[in-house]
Amino acid sequence: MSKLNDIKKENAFKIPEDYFNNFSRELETRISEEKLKKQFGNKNPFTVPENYFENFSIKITNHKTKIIQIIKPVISVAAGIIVIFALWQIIFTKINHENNIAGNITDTNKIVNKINNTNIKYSENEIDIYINELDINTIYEYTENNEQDDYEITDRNDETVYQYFVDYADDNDYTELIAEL
Amino acid sequence: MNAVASENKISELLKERNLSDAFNLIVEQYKERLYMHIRKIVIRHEDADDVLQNTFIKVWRYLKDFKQNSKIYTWLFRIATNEALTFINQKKKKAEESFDNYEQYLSNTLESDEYFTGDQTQLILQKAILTLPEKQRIVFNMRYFDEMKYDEMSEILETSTGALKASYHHAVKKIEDFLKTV
Repeated sequence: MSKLNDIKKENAFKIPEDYFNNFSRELETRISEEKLKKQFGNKNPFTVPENYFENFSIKITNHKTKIIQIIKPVISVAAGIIVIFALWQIIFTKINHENNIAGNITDTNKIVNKINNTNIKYSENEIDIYINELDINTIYEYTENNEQDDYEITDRNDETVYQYFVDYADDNDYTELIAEL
Repeated sequence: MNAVASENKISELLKERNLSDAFNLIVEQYKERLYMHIRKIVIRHEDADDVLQNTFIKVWRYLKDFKQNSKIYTWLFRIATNEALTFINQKKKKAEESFDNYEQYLSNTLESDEYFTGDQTQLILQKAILTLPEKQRIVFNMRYFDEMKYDEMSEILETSTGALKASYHHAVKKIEDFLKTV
């Protein structure tokens, strides 16, 4: 290809569809804008105070330091509160745990007493095995349901207690206790 | 309304100082021709849109001062050409800052331009035109594609017809030299 005449003379540039429909609207907007500019101007009415930007970066750095200085004690207090709360949680959990153990011991004692108060004869060894075989929930249930019974024996004079030991004392040596009575 | 009739109507409205109607008629009558004139200079549709809007804003702003010493048509094309050249120069400045060649960029853009419907030959011709200096490019487009008369071009570009003829001659030569290399 060396001659311009060999090339067909045509306009290869296309106008997008509907371009001129939108163009009129856009032009209208621009003209309204121009009218406003003509009426009010478009100068920025805000001014910067004199020397404002001098040492601006230093001001920013100082401001950052100030913010850190303000935030620092707040962070310390917050950290203190968190530590106190954590300690309180640990102590509270420990107390709860100890109370539970104490409760368990009391419950165990109740069961021992209960067994001792029944007609069934168990050796201490048997009672230990019995308690160990029970899970803590069963023990709770048992003591809860039978709590009332512990306080039903109202006739606790010396004679009935003596008779009780005579009747039910088996392997245990209650002679000293009986003697005292 | 044909070109002469519309030119007369606009002239009448201007004499009556009915600027608003005169402006609306100008937009209606010349928007497409001005668009194509601008598009051939700036190449991209989006840029042509910007320049066309700027052109009409200028027209709207200075219509009240238009003395009708020249034809409306030449006045409009002069504004459009100047706006397109200003636009191109601004773009070139930005391209220089990023070490890019603006004409090369336009040339590459054409290949993927959805609003360029030319075939491979047309693409080569446009690439050849893009190697010309801006004013030579404008002269070539006005003469070759729009078949504008030299005296009209002279009014629009405010250049003598002799200088325009020489410019067109050089442009054609350069394009043919480019085509030989393809």
